Amino acid sequence: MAAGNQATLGGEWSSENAVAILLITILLTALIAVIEIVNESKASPRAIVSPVFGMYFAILAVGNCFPALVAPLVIRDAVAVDLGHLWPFFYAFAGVFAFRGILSNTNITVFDQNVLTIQDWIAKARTPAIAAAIKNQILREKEDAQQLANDLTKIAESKLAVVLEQTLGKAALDELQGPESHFKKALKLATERPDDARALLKAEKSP
Amino acid sequence: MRLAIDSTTIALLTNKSVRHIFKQVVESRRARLGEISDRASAEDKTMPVEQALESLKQAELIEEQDSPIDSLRTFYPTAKGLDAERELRKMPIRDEQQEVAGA
Repeated sequence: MAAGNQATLGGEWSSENAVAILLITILLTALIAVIEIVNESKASPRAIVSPVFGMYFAILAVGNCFPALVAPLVIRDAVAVDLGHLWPFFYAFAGVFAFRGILSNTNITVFDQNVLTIQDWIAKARTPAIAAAIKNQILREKEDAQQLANDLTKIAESKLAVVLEQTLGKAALDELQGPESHFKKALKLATERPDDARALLKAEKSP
Repeated sequence: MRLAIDSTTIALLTNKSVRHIFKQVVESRRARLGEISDRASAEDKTMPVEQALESLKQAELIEEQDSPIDSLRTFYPTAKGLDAERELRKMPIRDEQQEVAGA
């Protein structure tokens, strides 16, 4: 009966289905990994790209692909409707969520001691990816601020001082004295008030 | 229960000032020296802010992005720091003073 259903409804295990399931699962995994690392690191999506992110994605993809490929063999008979071309999507989603379920409930135990849960393994790959994203984001922000500060040094130091005093208060100027005071004022404004700095540059450029 | 943080890290984080600064850096994912100094309340100052940051750096829990302007020096957590924060959430650490009183 079950075999008959498979023949008429489709969605059975086949190499064509397997390729489609793999591709969809990998795309879904990439989306989940990006959302997770962006959310955890508070960095921009461009800042998360790093070798350790690649490693985290690879581990997650392998973990997701296996249950997704097994899904047609396990849950096909439990679904009474024919999903047609949507079967690979269904199996990919099922595989990803199954892996999440496996993650939460599997412990590797030796001599009654929890050696490592699969979740710990994933965390060991995720944490360096988050740390790398945070570092990349800070480097990018520093580069952007320095670029903006270089542009701002074309504006008179006295004018920068007035804008700084208006936006950050007189106390902000105290630590900006001494050598390179012009660049320091530009950098302070570019770092702490980038929108004001850009508006100032725009106003200076306009005739 | 296995712990991802070592005893040296636990000892360091028993200091209230250090722990508060560490939490601030980890929770915001990056904090400038100016912001850290502003938020460090008078009652927390069992250790100066700069000294607390230096000890966290030496323990490899945070790293620093330098700047020619002191208040713009940026501190951010390392992978070890993120692991330690996760452990702290599972198992809160008592203050040095509480430990002494308890003993």
